[in-house]
Amino acid sequence: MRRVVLSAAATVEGGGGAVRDEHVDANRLRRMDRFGRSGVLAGSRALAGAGARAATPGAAPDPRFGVIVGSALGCRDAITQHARLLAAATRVEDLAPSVFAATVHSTAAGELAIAFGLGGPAETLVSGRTAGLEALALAASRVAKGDADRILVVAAEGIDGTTRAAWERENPGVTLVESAAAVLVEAEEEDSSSKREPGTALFVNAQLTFEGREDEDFLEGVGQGGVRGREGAEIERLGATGLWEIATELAQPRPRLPSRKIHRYVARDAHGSCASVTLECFS
Amino acid sequence: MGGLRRVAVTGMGAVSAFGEGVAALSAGAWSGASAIAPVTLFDVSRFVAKTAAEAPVPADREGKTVDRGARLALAAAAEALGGAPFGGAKAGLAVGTTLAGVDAWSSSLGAGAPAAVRSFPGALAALLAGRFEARGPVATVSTACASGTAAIGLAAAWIREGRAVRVLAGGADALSPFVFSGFDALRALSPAAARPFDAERNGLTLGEGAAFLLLEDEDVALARGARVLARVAGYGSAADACHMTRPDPSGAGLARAAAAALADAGRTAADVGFVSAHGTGTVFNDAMEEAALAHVLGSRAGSVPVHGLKGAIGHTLGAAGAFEAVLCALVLRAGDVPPTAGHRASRPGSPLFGVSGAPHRPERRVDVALSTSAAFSGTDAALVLERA
Repeated sequence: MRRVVLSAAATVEGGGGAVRDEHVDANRLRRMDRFGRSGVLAGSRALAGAGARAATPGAAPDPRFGVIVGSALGCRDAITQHARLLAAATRVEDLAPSVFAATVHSTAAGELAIAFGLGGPAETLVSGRTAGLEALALAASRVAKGDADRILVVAAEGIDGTTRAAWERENPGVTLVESAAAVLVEAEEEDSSSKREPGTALFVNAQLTFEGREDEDFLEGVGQGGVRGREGAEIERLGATGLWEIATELAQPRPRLPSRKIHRYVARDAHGSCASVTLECFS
Repeated sequence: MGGLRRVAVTGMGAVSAFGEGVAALSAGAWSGASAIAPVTLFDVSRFVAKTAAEAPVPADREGKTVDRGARLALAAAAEALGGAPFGGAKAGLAVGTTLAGVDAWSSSLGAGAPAAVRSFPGALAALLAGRFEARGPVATVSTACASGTAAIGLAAAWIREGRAVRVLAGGADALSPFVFSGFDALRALSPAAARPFDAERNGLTLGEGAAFLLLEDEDVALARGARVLARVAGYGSAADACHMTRPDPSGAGLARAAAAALADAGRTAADVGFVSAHGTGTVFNDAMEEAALAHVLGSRAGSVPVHGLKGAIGHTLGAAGAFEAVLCALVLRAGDVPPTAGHRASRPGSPLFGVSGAPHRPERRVDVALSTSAAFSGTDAALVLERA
């Protein structure tokens, strides 16, 4: 098994409304829903930080470079749009094929693969708040095993107005923040353990468990435990929880004295899942 | 999966348009019949297409769950489990779905106060995990029409890594106006019925259902005296990185996924005796798969039987890859290959060997089966199953 390193992190808030990105075709960006844009923006910024360039049109994609995305809501924005069009439609011509085409949760992964020529392993997890850390754990496992040399990991949410209103009504006092985070996961080069760069981390391990609930009826509303932000208000990043904190840690300004610290990142979903990832962070 | 734990299939469950149970799926598939019929679930007068493959949706045994997709999933997972011991910290659940939560959300939109959290796509896996008392890894995979294949691949990885000893893995999706209208708007639906790999194919037909496998660390399964039905030997995925709704006509992405799955299994194309293809029956998909499989199978492409289950039970979306994995396990046990419903004749010059009309018994025993999935967003996935 190869050792796995994290680097080149990015975080984005409110990316669902983006109209341009340096590396992504503006027309493609416009056709995405809020989730697609949010995830693509974070992924694009992380890759740009790693020196990756947009794919050359017509060039063969890189089979050793993959993309894995985690999200709690996925393409909820596109789903809401198609459902509204359908409710008003009297014939099929009243629908928008491009809106329905965006109602798959793997749009962010697919768009990033197109934009950057990522032809390797491609997965999307929509397990809830744990999805981002699950995506990181899966990417680390695939790289360690040798299925790919590099995997872009993205955790993203796109929050449309209807979803925000419904969610905040069910979770009073908690602010839903449209968040996306991305990190690049790579196989560690041989003989590089003594010269790790600041702003990188070594993947140590991940744990995935399910804690169960007394009330198994998922058709009842479930409160999400929020993350307390600096202002004292509760901030909820849904599936970006965990990867957001990791990307923030990796991207923060470095102190002058080098150090290494073990960090554990945890996300729990109110439906019962728990994911934790342990990293050795270098700064 | 050399050197690591082996992943045994020790149980299977399915609810499809052929009825409840793997036996009904098997009988239907080998009969060569199609379960595609006019839609009765909802009014299709607004739409161009009029047919689908509707499944009989069982009631929840505990009377709690009204969601159609969840009832399909509960029944298939319960059948896969049979009487096997399950539950606790080493029991996991991997669900592939495209539509979980969509109906709960979209049907509540008109109500003024839509319910946000109950309609999260991950809620179905949580329901199953709660019902079957899984306390290990629980995840939901959603790579559009490759979701079921990806869920089984994820579950196999958990077992190989020692994260879980037993995993219920599969997929579930239910028919609804939401999904029917969308595929109709894309003009992807056949006016009659899907005919995978047929020269006159003219679109896909939607289906619904759920299929689950009980995957188990083979050493643990053998120690408890379980019957091993087949083995999940390899998994691979890849991105086309080409187009969001049209497959890469070269088939390069699907070929990469299939090659990765074979390498993961420590196999080569020379070992493959059967292919359960994605075979949606659209012009673009099947042409792409002809190119991909011709590339993967090389000189053997014309002699390895290629099957398309979607002509029989429709395209079950997130469940499709799980149904096709069940079919592979059935072929590995039966020794003969079912005909593809709706397939009468391949196009002249097709590189693939499609089976029409009646089951086919290959000269060489089928020891290795390849199942391929290709999805919107350009996601490809493949599984390799082998005879136990």
